[in-house]
Amino acid sequence: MSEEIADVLIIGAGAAGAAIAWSLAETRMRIVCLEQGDWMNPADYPTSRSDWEMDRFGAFGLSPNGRGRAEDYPVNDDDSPIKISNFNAVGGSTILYAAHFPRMHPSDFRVRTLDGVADDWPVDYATLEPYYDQNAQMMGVAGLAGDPAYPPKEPTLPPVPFGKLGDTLGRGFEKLGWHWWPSDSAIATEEHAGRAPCVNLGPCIMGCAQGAKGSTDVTYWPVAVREGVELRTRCRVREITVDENGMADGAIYLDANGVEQKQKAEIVIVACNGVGTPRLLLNSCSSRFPDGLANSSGLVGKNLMFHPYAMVTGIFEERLDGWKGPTGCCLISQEFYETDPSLDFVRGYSFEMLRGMGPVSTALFGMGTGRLPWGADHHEAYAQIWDRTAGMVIICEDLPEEHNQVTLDPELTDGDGIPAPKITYQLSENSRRMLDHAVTRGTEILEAAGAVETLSEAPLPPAGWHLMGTARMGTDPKRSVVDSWCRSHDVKNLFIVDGSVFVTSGGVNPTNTIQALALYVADKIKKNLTNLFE
Amino acid sequence: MSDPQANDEIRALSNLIDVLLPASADGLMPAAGSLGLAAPLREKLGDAWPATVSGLDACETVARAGGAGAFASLSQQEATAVLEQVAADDPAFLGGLVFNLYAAYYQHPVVVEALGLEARPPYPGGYPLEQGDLSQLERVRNGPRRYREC
Ligand SMILES: Cc1cc2nc3c(=O)[nH]c(=O)nc-3n(C[C@H](O)[C@H](O)[C@H](O)COP(=O)(O)OP(=O)(O)OC[C@H]3O[C@@H](n4cnc5c(N)ncnc54)[C@H](O)[C@@H]3O)c2cc1C
Ligand code: SF4
Repeated sequence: MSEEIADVLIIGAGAAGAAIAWSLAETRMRIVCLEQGDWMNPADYPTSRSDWEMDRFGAFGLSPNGRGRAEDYPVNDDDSPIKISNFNAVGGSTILYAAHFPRMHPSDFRVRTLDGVADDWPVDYATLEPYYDQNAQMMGVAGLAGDPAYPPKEPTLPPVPFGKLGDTLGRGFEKLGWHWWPSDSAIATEEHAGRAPCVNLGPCIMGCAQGAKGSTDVTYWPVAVREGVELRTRCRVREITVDENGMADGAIYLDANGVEQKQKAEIVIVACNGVGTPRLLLNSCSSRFPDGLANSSGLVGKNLMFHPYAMVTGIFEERLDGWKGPTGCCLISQEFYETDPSLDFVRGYSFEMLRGMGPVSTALFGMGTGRLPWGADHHEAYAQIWDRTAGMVIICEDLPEEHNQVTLDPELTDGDGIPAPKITYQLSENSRRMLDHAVTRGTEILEAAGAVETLSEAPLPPAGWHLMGTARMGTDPKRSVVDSWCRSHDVKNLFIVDGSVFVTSGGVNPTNTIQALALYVADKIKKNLTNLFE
Repeated sequence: MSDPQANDEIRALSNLIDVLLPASADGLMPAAGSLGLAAPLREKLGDAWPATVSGLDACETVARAGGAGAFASLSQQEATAVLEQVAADDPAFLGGLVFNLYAAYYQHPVVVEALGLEARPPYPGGYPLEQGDLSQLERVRNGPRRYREC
């Protein structure tokens, strides 16, 4: 048992845990963060090796079920067409993320008022705007000012280069007269805060050996640790404990040797992501909270939202130089982002343009899509696809539905015997219609850009990487888990700061908003320290 | 490797992968066997190796039954016909083998260079990438606001 009581205990050192730890550090409170994973060594990232492309089937795979890392916990996602992708380490899933870093739109916080669906958020864009700006400094956001899809904003760094591939796709958008813009990306396109500039290695989703990608192990954490936050790795929290007054008083965790430890704390902040957080709350049962901690609404784990993804790939006649440059950060289109009453679905989506593929991935893509025979015709067929693919993923807004949920699996456990999460998820009719529309329109773009052939997949099975809604914000304790500053309605010294608190999902990648919210909550805590528990 | 049977198996695998990935007609892309990929591929196949050996035996049997002689002596066209027949009888035979072969072939330095890339890992050298034509964005930049004020 740790002797000292922490003022603040943060559980999870990913995108959100890092941001809130850094912001709270200036208070000089005693802050401890428990993280089940370890620090990553950039020298271990695949791009330092010739066989780098195959690591996506091994230690740098997307699914925690196939990676074989002791730090991971298994997830039963058999009952979902979309499978969980994450990473467990200092930096959390930002170790693997593509660093595509858009903000949500002002309308995303007002979906009930504007479009009559789901619920409005108890915060709005204007409230989060200064925190988006603060996050842009800390994460190092590259982009280009002047995008008419957003209220004015100033990126910190110059945009990620388009290269020939981006230019080609841009011409497609211009032909159609649609919206497109260089993506906001958490990528240091110039040296930034000690981070070396991006050298266009390509596969950012297997970890950035250069340290240019804004994963929080190279952005927030080094500063937070320097400022005095204690980050304890290989510590897997089993449950949050409560005192006789129903206040959180710490956590029980298993250390690297599997030995049970306890950390006492005055304030507990959960940042384990949209699956890890409900899992932990549901595992934290007591006589006072028999259905799990902070769960008087019964909504912990409910309303799970992913972004249903589609992928459309085009094959071009000319070479595109697409094997280099940040994978997911080229350009974005929000032509169909805002609700359009003439369409057969509500809300909307973003097109996010992707780079091409390396030599091995090209061959496996050709094999998987049946266009690459072995034998005498192989080389001619390969030449038709090598460096001639470009495409997009399409990020559709998911709306909350209670039957989409995270529960505890009755049998599956992690390496420490702690019950593992089970995902139950179905695509809604609205999502299906949106995906159909998106694939048709995405195909149009690629054809306008010169693709001679296109193919698509929707929903994209491994795209369970945006995890939201499972401990939602709201003003009504019966219909939400946390209040407008992410404090539990039931347990006044318990905060949740990851994607779990999202009321709706927007149609963009969530991490920038997750972190802006975490910084906002940190400020609220700092301003209310004297009457925090009232 | 000193075991004669193992040597024979590797030779047979090398013949087979030459059929799966022969040299390209223009000579730019080498045949897979000529790159010495058979031995590392055998390692990679691990538990699937016995099934691969059965497939190699089946190729030999079918080739000889057709009266054309040993599998290794067949033309590309004849060998392809034999392989197609064996694969039809045992659909699992080629799947894992071709997957691992493509992975090994397309990361081999000779092949990577033939594709126009430098034969090295991406890091630390990285690659230059031109900024691209941002002036294409003028129409969008000067267009109407696209978000809802609220
Ligand atoms: C392949 C991939 C690509 C992605 N691309 C993008 C993108 O381009 N843009 C974008 O915005 N988002 C992207 N994402 C999503 C992004 O990574 C997440 O939105 C973000 O990391 C979520 O932050 P978080 O802090 O909520 O959770 P995480 O970053 O997942 O961190 C949670 C941390 O909590 C720890 N933890 C969990 N349970 C426990 C426990 N019981 N005890 C101790 N520690 C625990 C975990 O080990 C983990 O480190 C991507 C994700 C993946 C996997
Ligand atoms: S492309 Fe840039 S950000 Fe991505 S892995 Fe390479 S150096 Fe890092």
